[in-house]
Amino acid sequence: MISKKNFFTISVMMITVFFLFMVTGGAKIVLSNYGTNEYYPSGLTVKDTSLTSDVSAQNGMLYLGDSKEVYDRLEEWCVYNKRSLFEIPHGFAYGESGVDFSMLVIDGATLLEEDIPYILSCEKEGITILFATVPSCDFLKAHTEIAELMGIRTIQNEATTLVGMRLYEGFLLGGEAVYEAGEDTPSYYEDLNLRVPWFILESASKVYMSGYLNKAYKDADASYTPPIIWRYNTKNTYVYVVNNDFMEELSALGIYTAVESSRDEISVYPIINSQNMVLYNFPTITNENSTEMMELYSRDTINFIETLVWPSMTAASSANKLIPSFMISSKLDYSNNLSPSEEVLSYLMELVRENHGEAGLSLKGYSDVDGSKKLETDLDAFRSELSEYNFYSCYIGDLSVEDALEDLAENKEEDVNLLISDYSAKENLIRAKDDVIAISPTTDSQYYSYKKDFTLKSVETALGYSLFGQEMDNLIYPKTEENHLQNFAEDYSGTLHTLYEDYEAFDATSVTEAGNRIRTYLNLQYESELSVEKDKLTIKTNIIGEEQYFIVKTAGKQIQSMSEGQFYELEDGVYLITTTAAETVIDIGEKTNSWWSYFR
Amino acid sequence: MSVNSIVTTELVKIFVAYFLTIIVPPAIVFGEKLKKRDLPYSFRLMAYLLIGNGFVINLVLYLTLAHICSKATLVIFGFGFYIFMALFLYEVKIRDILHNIRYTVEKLGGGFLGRKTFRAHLRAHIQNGAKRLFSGTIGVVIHNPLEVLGFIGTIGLVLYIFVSNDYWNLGYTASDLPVHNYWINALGENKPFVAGVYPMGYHSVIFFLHMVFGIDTYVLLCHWEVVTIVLLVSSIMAFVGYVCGKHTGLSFGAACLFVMPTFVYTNVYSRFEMGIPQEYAHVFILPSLMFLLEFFVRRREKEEGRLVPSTLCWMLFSAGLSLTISIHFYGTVVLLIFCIGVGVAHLPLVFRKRYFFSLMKSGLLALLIAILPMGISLLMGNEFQGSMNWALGVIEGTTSSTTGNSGNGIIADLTDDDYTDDLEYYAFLEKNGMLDESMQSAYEDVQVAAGKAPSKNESQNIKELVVSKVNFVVSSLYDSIKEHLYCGSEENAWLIYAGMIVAALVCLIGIIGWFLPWNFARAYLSMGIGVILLWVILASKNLGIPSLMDTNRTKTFLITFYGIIVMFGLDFLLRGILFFVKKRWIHIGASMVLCAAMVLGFYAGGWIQSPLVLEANETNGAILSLKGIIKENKDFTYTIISANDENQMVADHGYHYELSTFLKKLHLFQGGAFSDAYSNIENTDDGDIFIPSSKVYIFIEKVPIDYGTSYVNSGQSISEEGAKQPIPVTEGKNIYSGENRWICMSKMYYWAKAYQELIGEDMRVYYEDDEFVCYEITQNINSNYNFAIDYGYNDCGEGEVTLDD
Repeated sequence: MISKKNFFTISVMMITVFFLFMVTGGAKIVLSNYGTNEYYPSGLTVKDTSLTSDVSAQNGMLYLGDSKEVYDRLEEWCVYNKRSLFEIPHGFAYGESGVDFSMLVIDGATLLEEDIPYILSCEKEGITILFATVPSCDFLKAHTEIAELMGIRTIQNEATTLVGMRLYEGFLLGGEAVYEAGEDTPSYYEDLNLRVPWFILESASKVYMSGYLNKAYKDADASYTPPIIWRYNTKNTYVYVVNNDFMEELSALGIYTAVESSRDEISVYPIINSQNMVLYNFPTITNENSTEMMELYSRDTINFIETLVWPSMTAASSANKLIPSFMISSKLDYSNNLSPSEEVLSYLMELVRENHGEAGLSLKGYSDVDGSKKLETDLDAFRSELSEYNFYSCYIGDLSVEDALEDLAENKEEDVNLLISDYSAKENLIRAKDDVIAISPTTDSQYYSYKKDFTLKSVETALGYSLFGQEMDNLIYPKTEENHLQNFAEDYSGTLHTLYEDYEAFDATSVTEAGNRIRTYLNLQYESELSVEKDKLTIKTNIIGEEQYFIVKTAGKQIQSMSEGQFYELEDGVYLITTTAAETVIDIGEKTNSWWSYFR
Repeated sequence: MSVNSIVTTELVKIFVAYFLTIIVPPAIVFGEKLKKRDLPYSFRLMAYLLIGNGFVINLVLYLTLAHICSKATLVIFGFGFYIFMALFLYEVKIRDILHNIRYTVEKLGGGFLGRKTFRAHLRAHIQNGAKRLFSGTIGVVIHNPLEVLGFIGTIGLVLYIFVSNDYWNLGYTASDLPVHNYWINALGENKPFVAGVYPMGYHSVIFFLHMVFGIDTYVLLCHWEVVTIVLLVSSIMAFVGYVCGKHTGLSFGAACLFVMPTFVYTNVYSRFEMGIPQEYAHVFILPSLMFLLEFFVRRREKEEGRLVPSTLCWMLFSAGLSLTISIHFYGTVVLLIFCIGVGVAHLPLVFRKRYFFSLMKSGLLALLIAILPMGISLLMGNEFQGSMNWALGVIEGTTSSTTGNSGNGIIADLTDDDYTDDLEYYAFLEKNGMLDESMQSAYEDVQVAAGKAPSKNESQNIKELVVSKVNFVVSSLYDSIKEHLYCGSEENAWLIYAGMIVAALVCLIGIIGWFLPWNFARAYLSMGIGVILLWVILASKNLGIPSLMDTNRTKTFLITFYGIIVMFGLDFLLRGILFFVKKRWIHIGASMVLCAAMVLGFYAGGWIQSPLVLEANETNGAILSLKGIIKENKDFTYTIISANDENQMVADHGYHYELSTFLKKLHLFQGGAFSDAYSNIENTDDGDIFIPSSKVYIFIEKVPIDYGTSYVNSGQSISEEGAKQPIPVTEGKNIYSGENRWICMSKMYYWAKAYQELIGEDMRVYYEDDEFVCYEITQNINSNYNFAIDYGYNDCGEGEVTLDD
């Protein structure tokens, strides 16, 4: 029998607890301010990103070859790094160009005999040479001076099929990587070109990436394995060789940067410092394809999104310390007459805010619908709940930037200044047009592959930037079992973790913030000066007040201090520098042990 | 961190480690028991030293023989033994201990014992234990301030003279230390006699400290002479203090006289700067003699109701004797020489049945303890180590000490003719009828000098004969001292005679005392006879008798004991002057004044020697680089390319690549042009050099040291001229001796310069000073640099070079 006194006490406690829960829940909704976008674009403007062709500019790049892919990627790199690029025809005589350049990039596959004198002249003059592709073995045998220039002692096999490749630490950011499939490895992992010529290199050649031989060569000394990327010193200059098709793709960006920075003992270059996770057409707020969802997950589509998909995706983002950006859509199939749910939108936007995410628009839906009409439908659905929400970003799929801007203008969405398009080899990763930035993903599906990994390492090295864009339509309209959530989530989170675990030191950003950093990066002009005697590195920039990011490679030394900003050691001898000042002085010194280590 | 701080830290670590493992455990376990047996403090300390060393040596040897030696087993068995002994000696039962623990836990759990009370009890126990442990030391310090000051001053002087070199020359000061390092490293692989059966006591102690405390073996070896000299001086002070009783100041005098004089050749002390086995065995001679003399002083003690010779004393003497056998046989030889003195001084007591048998038991036990591990190893099929055969040969007289080596190929510096050789030569000529008249006279002189023939005047006057013999002996002893020890001016050569007279007087006093109940006089006589015998060994060539030990070794022993004899002379003087004075402090004060006067006199006369300097076999830069490399890198992630010595120094941490092999492979290198021929990818012996570690360090002496031997241009810097020379074609470490070292270092330097140009930022100068440079190469562990290049000096001339050299 409970006494009155106890009954009273228990009642008061229960009311208090109930009240406290109510208050916190209510406060969260009121204070979260989910109806507004917490990210704002910066005031910096970028007019365009066309290539400079100033012949007086120093450190220009020279291209010799016929491959358009190689040229395009080199051009893209030159755009980002504000370098001049010149293309010379075959048989060009040394000294005719009259330009000052620091590196000769050669498409070895299209090399002609008449180019050899020019290349040898460059070598004598101490100009760095990069063979973006290797000449054929017949060419090398016929022209041994080119083989010797490339540091090739012997051609062991003209075409060897490798079982994998190994990227060594210190060349690209992200450390060592082994690209060798095991027995249980899915077949789609192996997308690297594994058939390459096998060269034995001269002494003192530095190999950055090499191939794995099959079991037939198990007795071969590890140091003789087929080199993929290497450097050879001819005593006059460094010659870099890429024995694969990496220079025709996005992966070329990082290789150019790595080559540039490996030439000097201490090197510095700017980066964007932005890691992004973008989900296209997610969340949707219409209960479509519910019958199939009920069959598969015993719940309708909205319930499926709220209770299964959302936790999976946010868990993946938080586990990898990424900020999710959601390109929201009112529905996927615009041919049906189902109405979007405002209530669901309200709830999901609360969750977006809780995750410090950002919402953007989408011009590309699951069904074949005109971008402008889709946007109109979406904005109608969002109007009541998100009347004060400023959308700054938009997913445009394979639409051209011009068409996308037109669609946005039709719907009076002039605030949008960051477009996310699908990846296209024909276009640069980052473009600027009329103050609008268009970016492409560095990774665009949940399936991990070696090439994706290598490409990401390369882009991270060059730009400190990545964007993992993911189509979410197939979850609601699954075509195969692979589209079922349990399979998708496993692939997605696994890929995300494998790719990004080495880059946690870079900042996770929402897409608008990424746009801001890209604007700063594209506007940035800098000079660096190294005082050898005092080991002081001075970086002068044209931007004040905005955060700028640089990678400083110190070749084993360590940064002791810096005058403005912060530094963080990404890897041994590789530092991420953050500064807002126009001039930053960095003290670099030898690594020292703490005094107490001698007492151990 | 400065060099001084590093060295000081290392010295402190070594002393703390030695104290904690060798001295403290026996002190805790046996201290109380020894105290009850009326052993004074200095005796107890010496006893701890003998027990601690004896236990550690045997523990290491038996564990390695059983192939179970590791840090864990060393600690477990080490502590286990002392715990077992404590339980046994103090008759504590484990059951009682467990019962007490259970009782306490139950009381705690049941609330009958409060936590505060429990903590207070625990604290009281710990405090009492600490008090008991240190009460002896603290009591000694409080009650003997003068002695403590004297001790500190003497040790300070010793450290000043002997330790300074550790700060100036960081490497090995003896060329055979790399060999000892190798043997110690082999103990870590459970190979106790890796190069053959050899006394491994010294190695075992160092190995034990290395394993238990993690101090690198090379660090211990570099500083071991400090441990040795401090222990040796302490044993001298303890011994003199024991014999001279209240005249404690004379202990310090003996120690000072050992280390101070400038009129003694500094090379006499050079062995004490090396930290090698013989000197460590030297430490245990005087403690052993203390217990042997005490054995006779005590005569018979009551043990288990019976009066028997002191078991404690003969057992501790036995421990000391076994230690000298376990560490270095020459220590045993010298100890036995002094035992002869002790035996003579205690005639006829020594031949009485109970004493004689006790001594026999002691000797046999010592032999058994020391020989057993070696015997087991011999039974397991191992052979004697090379230098053992040599040492036994010297003792037997079948090997000349002038051509012997101590296991590392170092040729001793003695090249004098000796009478024996001359005698054999002339005898050979005479036998074959080749002795002409001009040689006859010389032959007769040699015969006389060697004592093989009577002098011409013998038949004329027997008195003159005796006088001439005495003159001959005295002059031989004088000459030997002058040749090997005394380096003062001719004016002060009387000091040699003074020393001889003092030794004779001490013996005389001993003989007189032999008839009187003077124990101190017997000690005088024992030491006097021992020193004279050592002296005779030193002068063996002059006297024409077979040499038991080479002079280099004999003189290091002799100089240690000579100061003791002088102090005995002064002791007798004080005993006479203060015969009627009973006050203890007057005796102490007088002896201290005498000691202080002696030191001041030496100081005034400019006879106190400066700190000893002994060049190391590695540059300071090499040792500092090595220390840095070991600290900065994970174990076994790097390789050092150097001229041999670092091979063993780095053995516990990284890999080593022989510099000579590197140069020879460079010679075999054929490359530089594109070739259609397929490469032999399964064999790199065709000239390619791959060193599979992520870091490679290259040690190059810019001014090559004189390793083992000097040459005409010793001290010259590496140069192109040196690099142009062919690779020396020789065996073993000779490739690094004399001029060969200059050639190797020159070649290596020019290779390094050429390679640095090729690989740029991956090769940097890790350390550089005027004499040494260390390069660091960083490479992919899975795709190594090929170090074989044409650096311009690959060709080695006409000599045929093979990698097997």
